[in-house]
Amino acid sequence: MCGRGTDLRVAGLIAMARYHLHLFNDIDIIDEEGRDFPDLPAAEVEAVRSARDVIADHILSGRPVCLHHRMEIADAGGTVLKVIAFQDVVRFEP
Amino acid sequence: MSKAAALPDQEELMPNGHPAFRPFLRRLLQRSVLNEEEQQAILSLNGREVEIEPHRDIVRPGELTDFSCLVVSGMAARFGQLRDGQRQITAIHVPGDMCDLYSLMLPKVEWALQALSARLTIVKVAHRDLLELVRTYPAIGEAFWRDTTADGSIVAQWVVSVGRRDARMRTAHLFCEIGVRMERAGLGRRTDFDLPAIQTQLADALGMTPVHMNRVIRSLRQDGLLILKGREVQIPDWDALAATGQFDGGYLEMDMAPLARL
Repeated sequence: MCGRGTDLRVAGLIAMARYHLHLFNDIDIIDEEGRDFPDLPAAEVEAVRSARDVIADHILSGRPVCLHHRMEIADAGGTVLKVIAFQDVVRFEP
Repeated sequence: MSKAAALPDQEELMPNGHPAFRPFLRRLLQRSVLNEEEQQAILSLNGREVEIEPHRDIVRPGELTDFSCLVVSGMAARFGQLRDGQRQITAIHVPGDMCDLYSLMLPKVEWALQALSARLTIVKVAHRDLLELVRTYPAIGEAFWRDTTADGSIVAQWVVSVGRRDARMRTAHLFCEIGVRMERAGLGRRTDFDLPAIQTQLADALGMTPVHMNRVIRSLRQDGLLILKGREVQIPDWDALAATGQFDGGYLEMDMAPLARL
């Protein structure tokens, strides 16, 4: 049983790349350390999960959610590969 | 078979016992009274010292074990895992903790153990040796029972945190708890200690994504409650952080006078 592919990575079965997941919210968090993911889509899944987690806390504590706040995924060189706006990860229906 | 188990174990059978049992005895004496002979019996224990790499699992779910793990340095964690790999850490163990003493009674463990820190050193103690100790000295059996009960009390408090404390309270509460436990283990002060844990795993203990956890830690820092510099934790205003987390260390059962012998 492997935790988030960790054992496979250590075993050299999955090539991992370093991605930085930055948060631009009422507080900005620059991810200087970065984390390893198998590929960009895997980093995107985590970025979406992170955005939803932050949004959920805003909602639970009654703070406003700004739909233009965002997560950015950058590679090891600092190039932004993907921007995920809060409005892309939540849906409200009348 | 995990690679951790394949690492060469350093067989160190010491005539006077492994020194790692000194902090373990100290932990037991915080809650139990043991006489000289009983204390000596614990200090004479031996075990195999093993270095575990970060992320490695020490014991996997469903594994049948014949040893318990005493943390020498670094941190270990107990966790449960979903099919997609998401983990919830249900306990963090600091040096001096016998992190799966319960496996002595229930050797088929449903709770896996992993290395939380960059460098984790444990001593694997044979269940055979522990059982012999418990059968020879009933007071040691009681001390072990009390120890695992206290660990259960911590788990119950974590359920309250994950279920009812919001992200900020929960984070404040965890840092207070680890601070007190590190202080009692003789590893720093509750307001100033090293937390050798990896951030992703700390987030797994808090039931949050790492991004959200970092946002919470930043907001605690802005309020002057918590400073995290790499692995160094500083708590500039203990009372304020404890109030934020509604932390009351009573559940740690560490501040009670050891119970008189029955």
